Amino acid sequence: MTTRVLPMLIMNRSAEMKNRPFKDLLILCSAILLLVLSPLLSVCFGAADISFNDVFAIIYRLLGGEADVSAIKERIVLELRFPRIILAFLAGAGLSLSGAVLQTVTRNPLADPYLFGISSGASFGAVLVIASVGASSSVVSITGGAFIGGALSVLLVVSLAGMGVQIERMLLAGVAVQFMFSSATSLVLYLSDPQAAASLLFWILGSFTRASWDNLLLPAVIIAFCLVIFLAFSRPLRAILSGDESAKALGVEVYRLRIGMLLLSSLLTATLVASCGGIGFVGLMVPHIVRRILLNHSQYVLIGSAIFGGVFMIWVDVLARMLLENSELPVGVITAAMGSMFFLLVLKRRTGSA
Amino acid sequence: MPGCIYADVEQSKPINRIIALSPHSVEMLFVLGAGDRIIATTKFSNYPPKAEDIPRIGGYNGIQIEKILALKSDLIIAWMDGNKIEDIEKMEKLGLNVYRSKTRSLDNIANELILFGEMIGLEDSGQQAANAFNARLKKIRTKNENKSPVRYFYQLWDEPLRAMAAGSWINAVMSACGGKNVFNNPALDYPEISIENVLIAAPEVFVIPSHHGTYTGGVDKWKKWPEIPAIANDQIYFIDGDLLHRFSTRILDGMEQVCIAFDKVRASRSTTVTNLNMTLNEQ
Repeated sequence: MTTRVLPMLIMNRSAEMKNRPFKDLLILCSAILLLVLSPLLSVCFGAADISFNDVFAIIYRLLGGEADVSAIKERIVLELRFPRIILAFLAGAGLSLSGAVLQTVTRNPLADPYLFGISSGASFGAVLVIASVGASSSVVSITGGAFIGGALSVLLVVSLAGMGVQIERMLLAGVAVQFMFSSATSLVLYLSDPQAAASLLFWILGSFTRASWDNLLLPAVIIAFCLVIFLAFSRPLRAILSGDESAKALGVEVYRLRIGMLLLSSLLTATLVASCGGIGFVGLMVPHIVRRILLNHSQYVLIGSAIFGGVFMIWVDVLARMLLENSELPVGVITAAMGSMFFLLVLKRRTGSA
Repeated sequence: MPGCIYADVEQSKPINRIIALSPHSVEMLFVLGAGDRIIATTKFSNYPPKAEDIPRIGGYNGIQIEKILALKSDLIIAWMDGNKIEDIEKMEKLGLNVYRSKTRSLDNIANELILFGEMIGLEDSGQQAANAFNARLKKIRTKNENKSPVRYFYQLWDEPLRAMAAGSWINAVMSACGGKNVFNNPALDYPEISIENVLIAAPEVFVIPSHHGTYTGGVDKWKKWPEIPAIANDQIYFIDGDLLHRFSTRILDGMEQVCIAFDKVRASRSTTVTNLNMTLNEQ
């Protein structure tokens, strides 16, 4: 049933869509403006008192100019806050992108990076590494654990769904795999001592505190790589939205495309879970909002999801470090709280206007 | 005052079979010379070494109540902050002789030594142990009360970074040595923090508990932040978490180690201390 909702929605709007490219472009431009301004403004928020002038001076000096700003402020901005903002952006962008693609290939509006158990698999891998090797385990091995967990969940889903890869079977397999890994994670939490369990819980809820320039490269490269491939396949992806049969009639290799997109999405999610823990709801919510604003113009929806998701996450992280004095709030808690409220609001307005 | 807490305990019956559901109660019973009366305990009760031989019937996440029933104990020492409250209530409902051990302040350790002594018929040992504990605690406090405060950061956990804040009971151990917690956030006892929070707080010393005596990592990432006085002056101390996080007499061993560390911090002050807050405010 649900699989029919999305294509129908698009069909109804396709006529309207034709005279909207200019407006879409305008929205995209404002999104890019947001993209430039958000990091510059958000960098002013944090424990240390750093003004916009300081940030401006630091950037000016970075570009070779002469400016008077204390060394410590410069280090805080350049070594702590910017990597963190970039990681937040990458996480938001990657998860939203992954969600947008998954919603398209499954034709299910509820699809998100969590659907196929990717994040629960990746979380399990990471948690297992932290619990067994200890808190001092290097980021590399946590990332490795998350990757293996995420990949394992995709393998399980694909093999459970069978060669035909019917969407319904895949969704059900995903739900089963998700529960399986969640229970395994709970078991690890249950068996570890209270100290470790509390820390693992913080990790599962997501945090950008670990960000540093060294660990930004991998997520950045993978997100860029996936974005390029997703964009290259935006036409066949749109064809899938109108149903497997019609897509096949148009010459799209539905099965291979779906598996490929699924694998790429899991690569994205696993990388992000490995570097900042599990952050829910962004991947589900952002593509919907973007589709609502951009009316399903496929390339724009992908780019728009990435930009809006990233910017959204930058501001969520500002809240995470500002809401409590002298401490951090788990990012996942804020995304879920804010996301669900916003989502309900959008849905309410939508049903109200219909 | 101590007498009123264990109204249910039958004084007439000798207490020979004790189930001690926390590491600290096991340690205290051994101090009183009643270690051989413990018939069961929980996962992390590892001190003194003889305690390792006691059979286990659960951990912080739950206790096997059926086994407790089968063991036919005379006394169960439960732990308000460590055992599940449902488990404690269930044991009480089943008519078992349960004492609820509360671990909230240093002074309560001596009270519990007296209480345990009274409950198991070793009043003299209890009183003696309590007196010894109080005398030692007083000695440490007197020795350190007029020393200059030391601004410390207690790195409870490394990844994600978590601190012990001033509201936590571990704080009392540090205060006795003249320590001033740089995180005096009233909202959370064990807040998750960022490197930036520590930079701003500019602690003079890092105290890092080594969990179960094994963990010594979590320092490397600080090396590149010499703006923090503790890092600039290499004032990082690892102290056995079992000593600091357990409400038994050994907490004073931990406290003495902390005091020695803080003395070293005071001695290191002769070298120039960069104060980050000052640097920031100058701008």
